Amino acid sequence: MLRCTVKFCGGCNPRFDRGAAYETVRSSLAGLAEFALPQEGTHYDVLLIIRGCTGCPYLYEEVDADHRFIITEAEQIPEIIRNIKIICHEN
Amino acid sequence: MMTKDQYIESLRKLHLNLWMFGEKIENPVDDPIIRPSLNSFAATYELAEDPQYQDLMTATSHISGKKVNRFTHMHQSTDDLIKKVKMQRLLGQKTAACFQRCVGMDAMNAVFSSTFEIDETCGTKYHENFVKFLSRVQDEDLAVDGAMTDVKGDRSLAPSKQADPDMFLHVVERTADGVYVTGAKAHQTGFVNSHEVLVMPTIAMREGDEDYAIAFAVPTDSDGITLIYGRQSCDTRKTEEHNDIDVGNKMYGGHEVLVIFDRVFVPNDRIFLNGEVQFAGMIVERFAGYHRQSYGGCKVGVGDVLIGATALAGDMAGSAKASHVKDKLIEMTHLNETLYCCGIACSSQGTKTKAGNYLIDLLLANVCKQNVTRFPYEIARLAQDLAGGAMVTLPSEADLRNPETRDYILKYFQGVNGVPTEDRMRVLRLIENMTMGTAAVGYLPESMHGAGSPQAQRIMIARQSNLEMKKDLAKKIARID
Repeated sequence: MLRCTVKFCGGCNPRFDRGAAYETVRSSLAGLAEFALPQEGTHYDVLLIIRGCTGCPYLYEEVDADHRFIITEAEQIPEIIRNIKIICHEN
Repeated sequence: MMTKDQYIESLRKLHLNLWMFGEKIENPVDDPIIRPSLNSFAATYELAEDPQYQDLMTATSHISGKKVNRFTHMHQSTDDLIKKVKMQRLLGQKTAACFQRCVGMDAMNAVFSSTFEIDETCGTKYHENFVKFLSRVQDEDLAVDGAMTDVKGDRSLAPSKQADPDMFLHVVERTADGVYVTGAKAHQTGFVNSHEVLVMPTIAMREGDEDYAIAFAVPTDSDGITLIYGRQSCDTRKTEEHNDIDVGNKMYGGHEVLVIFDRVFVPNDRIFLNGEVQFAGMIVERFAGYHRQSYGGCKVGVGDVLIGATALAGDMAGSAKASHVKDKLIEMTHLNETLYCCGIACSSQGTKTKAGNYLIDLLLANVCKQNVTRFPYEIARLAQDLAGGAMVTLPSEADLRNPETRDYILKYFQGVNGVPTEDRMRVLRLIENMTMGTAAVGYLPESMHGAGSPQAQRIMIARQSNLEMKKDLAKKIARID
């Protein structure tokens, strides 16, 4: 099971529903990846960064993760799910 | 950090001397007139609990290293200043009202840097006093009201020249343990929902005004403090039996009170300025600058809701595809985003103070607020244009609930087929609320006068415009020696 975590941008003016995007990714990967909010000192396979627009530059370097995936628009969700699935299969 | 529920419970423990509509209010927390403003303030706690918003709503304290609510944070970078504006836009979007907590954040950042520089010059210990106060605010996640505006009496006279000395808050007695102060602070946003008040002088001062150059913090329910609640347009709709639709925004609102200080005692360790007249102006300028930045966030968030409501009104009336409707919505968005640009710009150009926290670019912050005194009025005008006359001629909700009139209202206020008439009424009432009702207080006159009236910004713009440099530029191009 892939260990995944998520960071949200803060949501000042999101162009899509970030919570719904997270739920879509999480439910699509059920049984393959386990999502939790980031805990200090914990290593993750994947950090999913959900930005409501393209304006936020943060990569959340303080979160220790092998892979970082960034969503800035809803259309990217299927591709992100596909890419995380590839990592699942590689592991 | 406090949860939303813990915050609300903490307010029940305050013993405010609060008056409204001729009566003493013993339980402001559950009062139907006041509660919407409390809900807005509580949103600053609620969103900080939600992982979706924590990146904006929280920060790391430079004092303790712990996570704190951003409203209690001293900005440590231009990134913090930008996140502040984004947080305010977010809260404006969620409440469509004034959420009130900015004024304390702006006051604390201004007093933090000013006290450091006062101590450096005068050998006082105000910064140490302030950091002690700030640490408690951060650790306990307290709500702080920032109180600047004196009632001012005769505007042509200095504080010490007024016929009534209480027109500006001032020290009336000094003891070994502290000072007693008397006076009043007007237009105090969020005071009723705050645990502490941070008081600052209202204008730059000169020799002779020493008793008026006073900054301090005390609990909001201190002995000698009396609050008189300000009326808002349509406020008593909140007490009507059928008030679900007619209030426009059932959940959220804002408030202002007149705060009277009658010989309120301030202990020495809560004093942050006491007679150093030359520094009153610094506190005023920095607080005003931060607060003028704030309006480039909060009013934009409220504007987002108004633009959304206006677009919905068009959808429901079947006018959404008309070219002028589309164009007016574009204009509203353009104006709203221009305000946001100003808020972000003055933040991105911020600089580090001697105390270590960051101050916005004051010229750009004043330009930001100057635009805020105008654009929300134009956005509101366009909203009223597109909403149509029904916004102000709709029958009451009581008539909608009355079987004698209900069917007529449902039939004759119907817009696009399939859209419930009640939904259309809700959207029109929301636009009314934001442009003429209780929320208009926050969106319109507060945009005009909050953080200083338009002329105050023009004075600051003139002071910082560096006209001589611009003349030199022109001379050089024109080849004038």
